[in-house]
Amino acid sequence: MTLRSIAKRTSYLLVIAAFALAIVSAVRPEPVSAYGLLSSRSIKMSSSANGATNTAYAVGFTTVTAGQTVGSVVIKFCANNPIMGDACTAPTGFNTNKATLSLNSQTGNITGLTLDTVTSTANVVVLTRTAGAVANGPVTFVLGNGTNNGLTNPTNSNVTFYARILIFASSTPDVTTPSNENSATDAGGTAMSTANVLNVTAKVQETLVFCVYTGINCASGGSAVALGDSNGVLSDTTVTYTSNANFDLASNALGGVNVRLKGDTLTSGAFTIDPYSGAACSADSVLTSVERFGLRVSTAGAGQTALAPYSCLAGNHGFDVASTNTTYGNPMVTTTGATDRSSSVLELAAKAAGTTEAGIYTSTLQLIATATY
Amino acid sequence: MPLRRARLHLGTSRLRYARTITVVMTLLLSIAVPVLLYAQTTAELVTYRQLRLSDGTVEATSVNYRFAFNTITSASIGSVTFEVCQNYQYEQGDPCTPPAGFRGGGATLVSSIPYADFTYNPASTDNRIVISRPAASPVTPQPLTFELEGVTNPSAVGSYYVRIQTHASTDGSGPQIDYGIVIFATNIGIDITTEVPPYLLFCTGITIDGYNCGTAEGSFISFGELSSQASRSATSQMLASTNAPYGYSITLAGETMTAGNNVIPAMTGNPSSVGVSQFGINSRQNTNPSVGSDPEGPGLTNATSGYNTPNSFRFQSGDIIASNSNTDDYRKFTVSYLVNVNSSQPPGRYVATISYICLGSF
Repeated sequence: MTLRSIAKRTSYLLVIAAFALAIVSAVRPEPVSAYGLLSSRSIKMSSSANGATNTAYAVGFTTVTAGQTVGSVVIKFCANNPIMGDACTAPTGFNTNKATLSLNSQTGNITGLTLDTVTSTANVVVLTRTAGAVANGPVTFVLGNGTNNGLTNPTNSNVTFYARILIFASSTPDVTTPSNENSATDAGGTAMSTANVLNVTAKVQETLVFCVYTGINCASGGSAVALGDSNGVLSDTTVTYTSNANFDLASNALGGVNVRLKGDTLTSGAFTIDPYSGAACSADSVLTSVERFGLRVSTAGAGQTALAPYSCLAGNHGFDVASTNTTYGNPMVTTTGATDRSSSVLELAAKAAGTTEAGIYTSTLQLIATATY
Repeated sequence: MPLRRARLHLGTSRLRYARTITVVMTLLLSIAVPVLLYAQTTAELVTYRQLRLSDGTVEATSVNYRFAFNTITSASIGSVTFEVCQNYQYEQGDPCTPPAGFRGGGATLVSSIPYADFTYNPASTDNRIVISRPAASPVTPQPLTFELEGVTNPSAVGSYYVRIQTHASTDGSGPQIDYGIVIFATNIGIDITTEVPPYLLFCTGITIDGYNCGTAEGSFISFGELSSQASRSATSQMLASTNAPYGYSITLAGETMTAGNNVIPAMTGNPSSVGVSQFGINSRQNTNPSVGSDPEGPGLTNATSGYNTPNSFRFQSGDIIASNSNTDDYRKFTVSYLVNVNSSQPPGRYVATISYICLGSF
């Protein structure tokens, strides 16, 4: 065998070896991830507003590896992807606030988790427990209480970020080496997103609806009231004749509404019919020597309160002419605050005495509503 | 050449100076504009604001408008404006539609509490009333009240909005400090009408029970046989009442007692004289002779002079024997009749027919 043939054989062997090595390399399987994929995994945020602080994150998942030993649960928050083993880029502005973060509402078979504030980072939450076997099942817990502690959302709006949920047998997992994520027994990713907060604005304008009428409703209008018998005559000096007028009132005035009565008693030229006197209700009279004019709020609308001397029972009326004849009149009905639309009924009353001068008597009463906003 | 260089150098410095000023001004403007905008948008809503009207009827004139509200911002206030609009102001700067018929121009500020130095500003228009003071003065948050007199209400029924604004300026111009809206509603008043019918109640009879004309009975009086030794007397009654504004009167009509051509003379306001021919009446309680009663009842009417003196009698046809110038309630009169004769009075059947006429003055 010549030196040349030896060299030739050697080169053949080298080529064959190279091919063999290439084939072996091609056939040999890559090391595969050993973790089981957590099912039903979710993270519910108490706020999706970008930069929101003290946000509670409710974590949920179901373990899939039966009887696995669990020493820690790790949640990594990443801006780039939820793929295990990949480098994790922390979301901008995101913070676990590990120093103050509380762990709440633990349920499921993985019990006794506590926050490892040393190992945790600004985007990694490490929850540890005494390592032990755990049966499969759903697990939930809440990071933060959503009130005075919790996580700080990423500061960019409408941006997706991810969480990698990892379960390790070790109570002291390596959370800094990306490849170590593949040593988790169970793991899975989930995605969240911040979103623009909808700012809803509505205006409520000041309102005051006040309608005085004598018809069946406000739309029908009417302002004339005839007091007396069927002919509008105070024919019987022992009878108090009545007739009704109405008003509708509604307002959103915080300080309520006062309805004031302004006007004089019935007059006919220089003659008048004596009004019910004073600041209190008076009973109707059957005496022929008594003449009277007045009114009462026979029905106060919902939210409305009649005031003396108009808050009279049936058969009683009032008319404080000393106040009704003042510049702004006499308070008759009030509301304590905003009131929905409701109707009140005024019962106007008049009676002639035997000595009431004959004539046609008239009076114009004004109802003035004053709202305090 | 050196001179030219020096000028060129000077020109360059001016240019730099101008550029610096421009930059500074731009910076100042960029700071000032947001501040000014902020100042406009941070005007506070006045609280406890209300508008009280002295008259809420449409087209009412000489109406008092009393505004009251609490200021919120501590600031110097030089004027307050009240702009009356038919439409609501959703945003500052919304146009205002003046209500038809409303006139606030020329109103008088009759009350300004607690600052009395506010006056009506002639710059006001019909629907934008400006009240101002000589110079803006600091006002701490507190209730303010302004009362205007002489306003004319809108001519239609409805709700109207008043935009209240406080200003630092003394003429209602410039940005608002505090603001608020109040609403007032116009209506038509309630017109009440009734009628009191006229009446005159009057009846006569020998007797009347109570004050009921339905019980009046009798119309014939007999004195029996006249004597020169004793008086003869009798009574009848009248009941009257009326709502005649100017009262009523009862007139006596008739002649004294006669028998053919023989007459018993009518009395002229004399006492009874036995043995003297005389005939008369009155409406009082008498003791000589004992006859009659004073008027009774809730009414106030009394007999007139000549018929209103006890023991004095008179008979004169056409006399008003009772009257009142006002309405009067029931009044019952008892009329006493007296007749005496002398011994020479011719015999005969003496009769007299007497009528009482009641007249109401409406």
